[in-house]
Amino acid sequence: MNIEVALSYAGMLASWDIIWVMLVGVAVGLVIGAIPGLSPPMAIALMIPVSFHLAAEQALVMMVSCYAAGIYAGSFSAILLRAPGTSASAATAIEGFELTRRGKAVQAIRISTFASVVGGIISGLVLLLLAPPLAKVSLLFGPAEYFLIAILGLTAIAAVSFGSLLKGLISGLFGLFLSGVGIDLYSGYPRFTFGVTELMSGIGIMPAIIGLFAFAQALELAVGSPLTTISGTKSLSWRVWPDWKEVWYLRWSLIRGWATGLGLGIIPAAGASVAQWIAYAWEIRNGKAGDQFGRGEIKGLAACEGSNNGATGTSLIPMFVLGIPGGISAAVILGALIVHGLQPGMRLFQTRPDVVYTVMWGFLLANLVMGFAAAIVARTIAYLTILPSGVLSPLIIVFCVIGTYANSNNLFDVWLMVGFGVLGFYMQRHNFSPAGVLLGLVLGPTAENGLRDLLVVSHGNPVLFTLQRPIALAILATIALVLFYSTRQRKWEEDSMRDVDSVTGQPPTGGEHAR
Amino acid sequence: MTRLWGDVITAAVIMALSVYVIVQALDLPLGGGAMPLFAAGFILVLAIAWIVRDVLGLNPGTGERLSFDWSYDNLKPLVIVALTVAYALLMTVIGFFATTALFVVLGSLALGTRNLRLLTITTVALVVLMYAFFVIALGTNLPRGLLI
Repeated sequence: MNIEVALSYAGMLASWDIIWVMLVGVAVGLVIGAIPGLSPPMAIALMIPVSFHLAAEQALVMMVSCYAAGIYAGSFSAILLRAPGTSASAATAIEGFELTRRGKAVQAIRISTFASVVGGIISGLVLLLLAPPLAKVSLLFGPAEYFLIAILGLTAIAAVSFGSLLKGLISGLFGLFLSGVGIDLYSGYPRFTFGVTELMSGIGIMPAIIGLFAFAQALELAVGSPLTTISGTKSLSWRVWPDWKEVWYLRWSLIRGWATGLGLGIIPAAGASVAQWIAYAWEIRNGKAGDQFGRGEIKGLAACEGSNNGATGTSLIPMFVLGIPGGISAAVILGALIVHGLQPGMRLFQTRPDVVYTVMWGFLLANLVMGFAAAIVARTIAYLTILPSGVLSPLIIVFCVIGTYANSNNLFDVWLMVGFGVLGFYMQRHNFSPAGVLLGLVLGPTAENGLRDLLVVSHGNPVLFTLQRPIALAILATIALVLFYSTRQRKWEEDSMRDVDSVTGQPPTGGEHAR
Repeated sequence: MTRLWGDVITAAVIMALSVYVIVQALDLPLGGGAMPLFAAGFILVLAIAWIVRDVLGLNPGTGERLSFDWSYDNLKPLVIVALTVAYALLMTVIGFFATTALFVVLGSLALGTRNLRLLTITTVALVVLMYAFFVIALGTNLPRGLLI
């Protein structure tokens, strides 16, 4: 039944309305992902104001295309410069750059493209097949479950944020508080507006998204030094698709990478950044005599690149089904979904199947398109990485200002955006979670309605009421698991990195937060 | 000052703000204070846990000395924020495109860019592309002023 419904919307992909936005999304993702310091969440955030002029399905196709292409393109600068474009390509930089130094940059890009494209397509298929049946679960939810699911979302995003879980949780709760600013719709009483008229209608999601992700990133670039040029790429030929022999040689590395990405992507507290390290460490543990891990081993690169794009589609499953993003990019896409007046869950699948399935098919096709686009423009994109941050930072700010202003024609939103940007900059520097603040703001209304309804239906005894509901108990258990997992996750990630370090002799490189 | 003190001061500020929100939320009618109470209450608990963890030495690196670098490189974000505020204020007076060109040039120079050829090409390309996309293609109403 679901498959029939899904198939009935596949034809939407033949529409030019969808194809052109997909091409824009892929192009922006390829460029932004390739430039170290710029991240897919930032690109997606800047797309939201532009997307107001588009239908919801067009807007979301553009964003998921940008997401897939951005994660893939992070490998370009990782391979060519040892500067990962996104944190999801940090492990790629180790083997990829060594391959470049040995004159095998083209082979590295080729394998990265194949692993990413096929991984993304498999991930998209899993999204298409698993999300609709899982969405039915949301029909069983009452106030207690809706409240707890919002808390689960905040816990999960706190867990995927770099830095401490404690600061991540504080960030999420701060977002929840901010969501309550403005006139209370139940009582008509203003809350925390301090007499500012513009705050009566609440804090907009748009200035928050653009400020926390794009403006903060521009401030971060302002501190950094300008980027240097790519050396040794001028004479490269760009055959971007591998032959059958290469694929057969790498088959187990690719399968291990894809499997890791698919599995970890669907878990709200994991994501592409974690998946790549686990996949890389798994690959090293399966290494054979003669493998050259740390000195340019193509198997390591294949596993990393298969895993990070393998996680992209599956990280959208919890977002569509329950409103819990699988990573930071998915959190921004969730914000865009809400901005376009859509609520995740079964109702979304029932009332707007056109949007859901078009986006899922769009994601699938975008992965294929990005492979072809990369074949055509890879070389040009590689040269874009030489744009100095001294020019890039003001350019991003111009887009932040125009994006915020054009949306509301209100200068107050620009001040809010700048305020969120400064806050996001401070938070990034001190290991708090800007994504947590955004998610708190997005999930706030759901959580608040759930909490207030819960207080009414439970006759003032919400804890006892919640403990009598099996689904609520299951969500509580999941929250506990996520909390446990996140305290152990850092150790597992460090163990994996230590394994990598002991074999390759290279300390892992970092990147921007871009899950 | 060590990082422990930096953490304690930050956590104390967060705690003070949480207490303020809690006090204000208690006065809100018809359950309007439930969510602010929940959020601020938990933030207060987490901030206390943060201080306790640091004081007990469970957080590595708290003994590290904090040094404040007042060099221009570290003050660049402040300069950019000030320029952005001026940009937003002036775009309704001077006009969006003229202010944008001015902001890109001044912002890039302030950040240390000295490649004037790259700067000129980037600025001209940006203004032309923005005009084509936002004004011609999307029909967006951008602020107009004395210039364009």
